[in-house]
Amino acid sequence: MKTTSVREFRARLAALLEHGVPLLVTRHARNVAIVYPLRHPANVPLEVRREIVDAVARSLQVQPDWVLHSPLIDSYKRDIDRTLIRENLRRSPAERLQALQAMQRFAAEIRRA
Amino acid sequence: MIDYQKLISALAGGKVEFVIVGGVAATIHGSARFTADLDIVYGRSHENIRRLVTALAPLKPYLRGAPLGLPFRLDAETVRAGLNFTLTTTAGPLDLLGEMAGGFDYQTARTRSIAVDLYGQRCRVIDIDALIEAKIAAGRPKDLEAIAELQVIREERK
Repeated sequence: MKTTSVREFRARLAALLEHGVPLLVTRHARNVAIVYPLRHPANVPLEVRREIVDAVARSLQVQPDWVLHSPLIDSYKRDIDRTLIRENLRRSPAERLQALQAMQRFAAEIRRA
Repeated sequence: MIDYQKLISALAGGKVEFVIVGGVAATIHGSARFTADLDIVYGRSHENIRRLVTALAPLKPYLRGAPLGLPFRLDAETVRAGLNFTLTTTAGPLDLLGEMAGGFDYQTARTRSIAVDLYGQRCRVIDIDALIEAKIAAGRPKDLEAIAELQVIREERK
């Protein structure tokens, strides 16, 4: 790990990252940040990599509203038979699975025919 | 065809930590769409993996679509070394997911799940909002219709 001051970090950022080694950034003799260049991702500690994955996962879990309210989804919704949905909602979850199995049996028979 | 009772009873009866996701979860929420397999997100702890392979062993799990005769055995070591497995079993196709689109592993899927009684067993099924999120994250064109249907189900429940 290389130690660099905030001033040097600002002035020579590109060159410092070129080295590919982690940088400990100090300010007034205090540690303020650690920067991991990704030239050699294997050098990034496992915990840091896990944190990155968690952050990406969290951001993916945020619902992109544009999908839910897009005209494309609305156009699909117009074609959905709500009577089938209502019928399903009157059934218990186990009955819904039974109906799915009946559909699978029918599809298998059609394939055989 | 899938024998859901056999698959779900084997998993739940074997005390496997799992959450039902995918098309079957959509069916349980009220979807009328066709699906031909069972997708589950399973816990990755050593103990749970041991329970998972023990529960599935009688159903002779094998890699779906792979030629017969490969030296494949779904044991704890194999599951630990991998993450997601697309299997065929004597009860029908089964997808084991260590993680699924949207950043869902077992823990996150469980916190976003509902309890449902199926075949005399209490099972966890991913909730409808999380299912929509996962389908959006998967970004597959075929999921657009499924997303629309899940939204309609949400509207019809109100």
